[in-house]
Amino acid sequence: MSNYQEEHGIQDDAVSRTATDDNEATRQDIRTQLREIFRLYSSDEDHQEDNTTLLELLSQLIPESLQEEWLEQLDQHDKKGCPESFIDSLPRVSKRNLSSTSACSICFSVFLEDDYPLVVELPHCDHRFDLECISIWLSKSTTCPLCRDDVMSHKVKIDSSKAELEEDWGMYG
Amino acid sequence: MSRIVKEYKKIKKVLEGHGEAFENLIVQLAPVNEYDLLSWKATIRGPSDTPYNGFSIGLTIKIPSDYPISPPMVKFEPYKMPHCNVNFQTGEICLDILTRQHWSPAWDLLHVLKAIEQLLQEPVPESPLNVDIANILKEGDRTAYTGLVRYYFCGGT
Repeated sequence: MSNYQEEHGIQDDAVSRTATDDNEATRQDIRTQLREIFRLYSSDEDHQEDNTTLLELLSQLIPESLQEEWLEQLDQHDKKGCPESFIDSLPRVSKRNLSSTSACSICFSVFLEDDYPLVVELPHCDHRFDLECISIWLSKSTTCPLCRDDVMSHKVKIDSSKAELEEDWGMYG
Repeated sequence: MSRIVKEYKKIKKVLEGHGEAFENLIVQLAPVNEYDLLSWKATIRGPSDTPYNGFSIGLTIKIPSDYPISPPMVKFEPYKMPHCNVNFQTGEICLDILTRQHWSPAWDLLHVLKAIEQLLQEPVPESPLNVDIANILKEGDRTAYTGLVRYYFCGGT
C-alpha cells in the first residue's frame, strides 16, 4: 500500500525529519485552531443546538483543564472584568501595615475604622482597596481605579515563603 | 455608611471652606432634598475666557444605585446648553469619564464638575452632539461662537 506522499510524488522532508521542534510547532498550531473553533461554537448561541454534537466531539479531544481555562477566557471576554480566581489571589495587606489615615478610594472609608479590615493590594501599582469594594469593580473592569493600570497584564506573584514566615512570627513572636 | 453620604459631607465641607479650588467653579452642589441623596442639582459658573463667562449654568445629577461602580448621570438642566458636546434638546453630555467604559469609582461629584468645567474650556468639535456649534468651532469663528452662546443665555430659544 502506498502512502500519500508516494501517490502524489511528493518527497516530504518533514516526514523524515523527526525534529521535536516541528512536532511542537504543529501541536501549537492545532491547539490554536481548536481553541478558535471552541470559542466560536461555545459563544454562538443562535446555533447552540447544532453545536452540541460538535462541542461533545471537541470535548473528547480537549483535556478538561484546558476547556475550563478557555471557558474562563470566554467569560472574561463577555464581562470585560477579571476572573474570580484572579480577584481571590490578590495579596492581603495586614492590619499593622495600614496607616491610620489611609482610606479605600471606592467607599471612602478609612481602613482602620473597621476592626478587622480586609484590605488587598493590586499587583504592580500596589494601590490598596477594601476587598469587598475592589472585587465588585474588578468583576466589571480590569483597571486600577486610581491609576488605570491594567491589572491583568501582570502575573500575580505569590510569595508563599514570606507568608509562612509571617505566620510563624504571629505564633511565636 | 454609603459612599454618597460620605461625599455629601465632604462636599459640604469643601463648599463652606474658602480659598478652595472649587470656589470659582461651584455656586451650588446639593441633593434636591436631604432625604434622597440619589438626585442632585448643581449650578456652576461659566469659566472665564470662554463664551460662558459670567453665566450660571444648571445641571442635574442622578446617582445610580450601584454608585460609584457605575458613573453618575449628569445633564444640563433645566436650561438649554449651547455647547458642541451637549445635546441641545436633552442636555445630554458627551464626556468620556461619564461613560461606563472610562469611569473610575475613585472619582466623585467634585471631579465630575471639574471635568465639565474643562469641557466648557476645551470643547471637542470632533465628537459633536451639537453639529452647528461644532461647525462654527471647526471654522475657528470665535466671534460667532461667543455671539451664539450669549444669544441663547440672554433669552434666545
